[in-house]
Amino acid sequence: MDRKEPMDRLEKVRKNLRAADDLELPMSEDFFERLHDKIMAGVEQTEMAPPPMLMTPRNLLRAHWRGWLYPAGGVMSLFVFSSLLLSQVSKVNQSMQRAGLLSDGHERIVAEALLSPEDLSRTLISTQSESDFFMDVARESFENLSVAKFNKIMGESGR
Amino acid sequence: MERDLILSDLELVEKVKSGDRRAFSELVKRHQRSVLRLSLRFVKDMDTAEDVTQEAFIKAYEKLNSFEGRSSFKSWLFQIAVNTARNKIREWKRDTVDIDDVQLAVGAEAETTLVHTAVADILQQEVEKLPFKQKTALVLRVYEDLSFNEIADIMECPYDTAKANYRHALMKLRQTFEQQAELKNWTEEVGGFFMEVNQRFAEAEG
Repeated sequence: MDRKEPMDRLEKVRKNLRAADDLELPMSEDFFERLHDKIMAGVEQTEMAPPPMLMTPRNLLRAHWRGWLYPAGGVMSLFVFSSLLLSQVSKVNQSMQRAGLLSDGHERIVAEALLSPEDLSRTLISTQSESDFFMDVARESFENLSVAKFNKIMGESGR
Repeated sequence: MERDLILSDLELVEKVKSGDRRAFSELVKRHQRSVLRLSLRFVKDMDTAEDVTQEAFIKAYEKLNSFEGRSSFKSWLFQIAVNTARNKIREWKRDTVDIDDVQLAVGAEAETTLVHTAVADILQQEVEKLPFKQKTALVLRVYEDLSFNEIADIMECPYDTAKANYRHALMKLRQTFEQQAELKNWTEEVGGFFMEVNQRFAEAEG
């Protein structure tokens, strides 16, 4: 079983190994100019491959995990944000309804309709005709009618 | 040309990608010495090293559109050079069975007595006997002064693997040093470099 060698000790060994290095490169500029020309002659004969359209499975596997953090994080953030936003909107709607700010507007509609029933039937209640609307209003009024008032109406109509 | 000198490698790469081959010429001039030196450490023959260098640059040009800039251009180029040298060695494989075990073909002189061989030669021969991955990590770290992150990019392995290969290489060299009686004599003569190495490793072992 290998034991971990302290890297600082090995660092000194590295420096000493380098000191014993005897590799020699040509120092002539002509040599490197010729090498450069040889390389460029080969490059001139070569076509650059087009950029890869898709990541190959090998590249996908070798891709660093951090590369997936940004798109995954973005999607998660959108999901969390939309969830929070929806819950907040729902809460606001409920509180506004309790305060009566979001009533179904029935009383207002009836008042407007009594002034111009033909407009109402054309715009808001397209499935109802004017007579249907008056029947609804009359039925609701009848349900809320007091006994005294009923007797009075029946008494007057009977004459 | 004066303007090219102030462009970074990545800027030159972008120019090459857009069709400017002269920018690639500048990249060749910047990196051909280091690539040649690296190739020579593996193939040991100047003509072959030139061929490896040329092939590495041609492959780099051909695949330049796949270079994404995650590592430095030099690291990416070195990666291609190391793989090209490795393939060249495989072509000449003589007494090896598996290139990853690396027993690189060693000349007959290595089989003879080493009494009169200089320590540097012994060192070089022992480095040649290292497994390819360990030798690569050692060469890149000791002789090219690269960081382990750069070595990991070149060797396409994790950081810890690159470091482990380097450490194992040094440990194998230490074992060789201890076995070479002449090396010990030499260390006594020159004032203790390898004695110090042996001592430090012995301390680490102990």
